[in-house]
Amino acid sequence: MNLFKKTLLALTLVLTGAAALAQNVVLYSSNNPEAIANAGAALKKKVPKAVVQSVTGGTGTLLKRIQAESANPGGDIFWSGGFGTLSAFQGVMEPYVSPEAKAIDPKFVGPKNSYIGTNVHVMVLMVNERQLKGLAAPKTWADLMKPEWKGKVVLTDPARSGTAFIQVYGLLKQFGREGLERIARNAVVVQSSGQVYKSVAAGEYAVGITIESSAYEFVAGGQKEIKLVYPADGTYLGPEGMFLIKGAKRMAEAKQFYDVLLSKDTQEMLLRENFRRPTRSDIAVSKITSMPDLASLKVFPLNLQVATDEYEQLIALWNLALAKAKQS
Amino acid sequence: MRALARWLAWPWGLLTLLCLLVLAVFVVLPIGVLTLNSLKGADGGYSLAGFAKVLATPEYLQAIINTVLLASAVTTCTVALGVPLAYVVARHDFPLKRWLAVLPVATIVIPEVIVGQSWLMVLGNNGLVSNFLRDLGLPVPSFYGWTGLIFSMTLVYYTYIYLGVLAALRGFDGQLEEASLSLGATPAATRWRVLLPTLAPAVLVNALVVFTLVVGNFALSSMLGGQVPLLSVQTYSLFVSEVGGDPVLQSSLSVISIILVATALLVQKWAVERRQVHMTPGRAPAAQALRSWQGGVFTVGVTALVALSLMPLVAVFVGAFTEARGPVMHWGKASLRSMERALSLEPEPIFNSLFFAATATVVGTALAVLVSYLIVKKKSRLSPLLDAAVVVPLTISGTVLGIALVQSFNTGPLVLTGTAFIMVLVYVVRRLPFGVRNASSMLYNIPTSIEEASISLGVTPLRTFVQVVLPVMKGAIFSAAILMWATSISELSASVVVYSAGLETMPIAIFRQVDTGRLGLASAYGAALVTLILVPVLVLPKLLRINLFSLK
Repeated sequence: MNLFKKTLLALTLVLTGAAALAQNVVLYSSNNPEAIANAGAALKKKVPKAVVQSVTGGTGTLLKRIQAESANPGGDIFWSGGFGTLSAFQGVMEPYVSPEAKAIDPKFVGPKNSYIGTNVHVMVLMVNERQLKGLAAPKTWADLMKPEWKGKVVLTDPARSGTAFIQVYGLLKQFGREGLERIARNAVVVQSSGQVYKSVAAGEYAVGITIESSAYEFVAGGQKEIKLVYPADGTYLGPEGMFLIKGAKRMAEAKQFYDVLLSKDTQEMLLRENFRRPTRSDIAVSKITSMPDLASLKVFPLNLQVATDEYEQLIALWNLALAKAKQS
Repeated sequence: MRALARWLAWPWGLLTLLCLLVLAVFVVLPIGVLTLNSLKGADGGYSLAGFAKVLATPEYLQAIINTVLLASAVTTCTVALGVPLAYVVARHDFPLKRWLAVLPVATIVIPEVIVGQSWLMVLGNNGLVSNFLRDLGLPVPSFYGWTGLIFSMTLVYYTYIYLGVLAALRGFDGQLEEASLSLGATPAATRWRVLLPTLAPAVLVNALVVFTLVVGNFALSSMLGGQVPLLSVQTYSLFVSEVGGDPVLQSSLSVISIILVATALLVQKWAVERRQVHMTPGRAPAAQALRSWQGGVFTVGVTALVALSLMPLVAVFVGAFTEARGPVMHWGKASLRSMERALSLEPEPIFNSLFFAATATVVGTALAVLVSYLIVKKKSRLSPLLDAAVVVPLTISGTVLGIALVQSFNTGPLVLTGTAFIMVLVYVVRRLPFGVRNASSMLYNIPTSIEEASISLGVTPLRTFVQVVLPVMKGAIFSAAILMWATSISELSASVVVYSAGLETMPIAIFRQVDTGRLGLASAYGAALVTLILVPVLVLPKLLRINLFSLK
């Protein structure tokens, strides 16, 4: 018994010790591994000893996990989730005013400084020109409601993705229930947002409703038939933010990372490398990438706080629209 | 009391007890916790509500049905492929046979996550071949779903049937066939009525192994499954999305998976016990040389099959050295960027894999040798218990094992989640039954008399074990260790459930990169992983003069 316990204890100590030494700041992130690696490199530049360890997953999954772990938080910082989703989780956030926050437009700062915008998603139409088969590329949301796009447009189930929720919510607010029904008639609905841009890139569908940064990766990667269309009747914005986890075990390091993520250097780098449109007002997007400046786009304004309150209602309306589309 | 003291005498009684304790804590207890969790009702009492909910949810019910259908389909295909292949190899000589006969074995050590990724790169929606065909204007059916699942799994698992049937054919008494022929039966009828029935047990046993492997398969199921819901994938996503939440549903799905696998294993045991065929050894008919054109046909056929099943090895290296910009692969353009990134910028998964797999190899092999020695050579009243406990991990798929361990060791007196210990633990537990089986078969061949001689000369039992038994077992121990290494380092399904920050391994990194569409970096980790598996598997047996896969 004794020998066994001793060996077990020794083994546990050795094994956990090895893991603990390298532990510096634990990031819970829904971002892709490249963006995470780039953020980690940016932190290393400022704090050479820092190591970012990431746990990745969907935004909702990770936020639920943070809530479940609140008595004994495993993570220190969360990056990044949509504003609509974040507003519902303020209980697990540690408010913080970063010295970098001055450069951020106040509309991208959460209530009581509990969270802050790191980047803004712009909703786009991702077009695969090879799959257009003679049709002219759509220019507006209204174009997609025409019957010739039946079965050629792919979007994510709004119940499964925060950005898809904004897209469908925007369509409802801009075009009403009838517009929603006309989109539902043409759309193929998939279960994850990744599936939309992957399947458009793969040529399964001609058009996908997705976010700018994901679609632009394929343009920047050199896939020539992929084009981005910013709907001329007004696109929707989805700011994304981060927060410090309340009770974080490595709070000082987490704050360092928070400042680094908001800094001009990092936001420019994440724009250049990962096409994240910055929330800072002092960065000119069109000078660094071939993406247009936000000011040049027509935006249909949405209130995401209200949108979150109307979540159930929207999902119900969308499912109704889909059911109606199936019958016709 | 004295009897008990003698019975527990150092070393064997105590060691048996210790091994039992280890297995009880790390294997039996987690399954117990899982089962209890599946039976928890809303009011804290026990109920079948979890199972009722599973069966009432169309998605889960469909997943269970699909899993059984898939396992049956893949099993059928592997039998259809493996049996003729074994027959051709055992009974005929054709050009290049010496090489072609061994190569399918390599499929056993190719990580499934790499197989999945490779077929995705070649035949997936944006795959090399799919795009080529699409450019030619040909319609390309989707590879995701049933097509991809059955295709890729058949190519991974046919080896089990092949090796099993090959062994049976080599032990087959050729005089039985001669007797049948001389009594006037046609060669076809002889094959059908004499050869086939005697091979049936070997086919059935290995077919059921394939069945259980498909039920537990996670890597290929989740990467190529597309819109087809499957049990292992549904259980995993339920676990991922319900961390910290109500574990009843995930436990119920897990228990259903255990029941499926355990049923298959019981059928297997029944089949083995009921239909044993005793053969006079050493009378297998010699292989016939074939006429030139027939030999050519066999060579081409077998080569095609072997090439298809080894394609992932090629694809992963090509992918690793192909230029990748974000999610876009530029086939035909070479680049070292992905390799550089995996090896020097983000090498943590490589170090983690090396550390966990090395520890698991040492601990797992030692435990397997000790346990099999206790079962085979030091029989006591506890031996049957130990014997039974060791095979329990066979009934649990990786995903289920991961969930059971997390549920048992997330809170309470022994917290293991978040530590490297739990990673090593899943590796050891998953491989233990195979390690014990290998070591036992070796031990049965070592006469007890040499030990008795040593002990009667005054050497202590423990020293006898170390100085007499272990040296004789050296070959078996090394081959068990090499196989333990190869299979641990490619483990995905359980480790992806239990891992946390800083514990990412190569298979997990590959899985994550593929999920976000980064095939270049995934290939780079894949190339590193395959190298770390193949080098020891190819080099060590030569150096140590051992036979890793007793093919002959």
